[in-house]
Amino acid sequence: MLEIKDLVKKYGSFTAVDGLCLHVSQGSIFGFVGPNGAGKTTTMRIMAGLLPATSGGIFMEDVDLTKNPRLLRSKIGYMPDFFGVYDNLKVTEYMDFYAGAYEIPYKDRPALIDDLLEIVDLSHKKNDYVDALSRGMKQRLCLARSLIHDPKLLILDEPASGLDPRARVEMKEILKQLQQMGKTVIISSHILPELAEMCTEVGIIDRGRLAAQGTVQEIMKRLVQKRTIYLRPLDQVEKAAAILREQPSVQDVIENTLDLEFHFDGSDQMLAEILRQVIAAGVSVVTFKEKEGNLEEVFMQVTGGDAQ
Amino acid sequence: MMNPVLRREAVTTMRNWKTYGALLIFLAITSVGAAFYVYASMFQNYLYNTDPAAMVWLYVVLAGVQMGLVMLATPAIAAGSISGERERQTLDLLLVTKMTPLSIVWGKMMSSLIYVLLLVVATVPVFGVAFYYGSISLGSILLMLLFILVMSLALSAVSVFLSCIFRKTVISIVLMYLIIGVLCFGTLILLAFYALFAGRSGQIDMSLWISVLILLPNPGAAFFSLMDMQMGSGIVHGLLNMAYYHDGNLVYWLAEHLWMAHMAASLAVTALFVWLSARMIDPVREKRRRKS
Repeated sequence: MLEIKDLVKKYGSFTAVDGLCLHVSQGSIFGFVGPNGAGKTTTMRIMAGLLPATSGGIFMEDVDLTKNPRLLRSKIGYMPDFFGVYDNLKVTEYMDFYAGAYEIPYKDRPALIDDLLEIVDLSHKKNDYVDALSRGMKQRLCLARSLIHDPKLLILDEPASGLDPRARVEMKEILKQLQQMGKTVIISSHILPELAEMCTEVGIIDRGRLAAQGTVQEIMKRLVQKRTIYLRPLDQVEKAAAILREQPSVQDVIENTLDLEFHFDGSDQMLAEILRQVIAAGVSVVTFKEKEGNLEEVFMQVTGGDAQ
Repeated sequence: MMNPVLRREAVTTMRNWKTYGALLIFLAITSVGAAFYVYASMFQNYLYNTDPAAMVWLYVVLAGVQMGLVMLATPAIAAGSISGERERQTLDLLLVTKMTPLSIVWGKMMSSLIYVLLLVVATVPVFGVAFYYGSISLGSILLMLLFILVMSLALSAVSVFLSCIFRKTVISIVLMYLIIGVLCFGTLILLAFYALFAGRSGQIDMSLWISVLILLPNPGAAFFSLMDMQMGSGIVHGLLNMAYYHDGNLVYWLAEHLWMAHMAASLAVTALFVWLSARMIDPVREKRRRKS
């Protein structure tokens, strides 16, 4: 679907994007993660045709979009991290303005605008002034605007920033709906656990380079060396902890009142052996499972612990 | 298809109460100017009679007031066109559409011009007072309005260009008023210095060429050149210290038709600054330049 090859963006001697290579599959929701200043927004602005790249290309269906800005604008819908609205303009007029800017014929606009407002759940606000909408509603309106020319690819720069939890959930639902409609979505966010829930693929960018790419599970497997295991015995927590501490592949046993957690860096066979030993020692085990790591842990590891 | 920027600007401008406030002030100033002139020329007379020749100058006063107001209004309208989009954070949303930078700038230009046109057309009935006393043809009034619109077009092109350069609207507006001040008064001061120190030393033709070139960018001089033509007065002749003779030389023709040369220069300035503004906001301009 989208291929970024050796993308470089320099501002004088500072390199914001340093030979970035990325592949985004058709119909995926691609999470773009990185600390502040990693080059996320710069990359997204180049993809949207708002910044020229120093070198490299952005290919969609084997066409280099950086060499054809008009084609790029017809195939990509862009929603920036910060945006404003016009005063004295109603929701339908706002949409009509952008429909005009995308050269959509007058006769097609009313039905199209109604459909898009339906998708973002703003049909009831169609006659309201845009500057009177809440932040979440403006965000959804901007999303509808970015869909007005039916782009194949949507680039959303931190669409959840500044939204309350309810508005975030609504935004997430809309993105799922867009995926069902066959749109490919690239989304950047600082809300990392949310990205993990929502994205089919994730790319972690650091200092202008891609540090890791794949599904969340793939990245976890590749990057998280120590697995966290959760064990809840029926009783005899201390005895179970003592057995675990004897194992060479077990570290950091945390003993709670009812359960315990430990880090494990061995194979699956070794883990099964530990479970067998605990049960053989007479401890009744209620739960024994690997705790799922989260994207935030991976992010901190890959980016050298740079906090957001 | 109508330029979307122009369409949107028309909708939002006509919904804004400030539009009507400005129109009211514009009409009030023009009407008060006309009333004051009529009062001063009619009722201050010992016989309380009217001199039609003096009343014809009402037209010049009204046109002058209108010209001054347009010069003040144009930067206020146009100098925030692009920087306003930046301040509102809507420029990026506009640049990612299929609209070319040129059509965005053109839409902005046209919307400010249409607003000026609204102000100008609204004052046409005030010119009816001058009509009442005769001596001014409709053609003269239309030509004067055309002159003002062309001048406004050039001013708005430079204003839009400044708003592309400066992120703050207020800087563009202040700078634009400074430019207008230099054009209107700076050129006159320069001409005075030239006349004092150099003007009389050279050949007449050369001296006139330099004087005409100094006055060419002055909208006020061009306006009075038009008035000279319409009223048969000699204000610009006096400024240029020019003898009343014609020998078919280009410089004499230019001096006689300064308003026409100014309009042509205004259109050239408009084209140049629209092009420069479009280049300024083109997000991929840097790449094109590097490739070339």
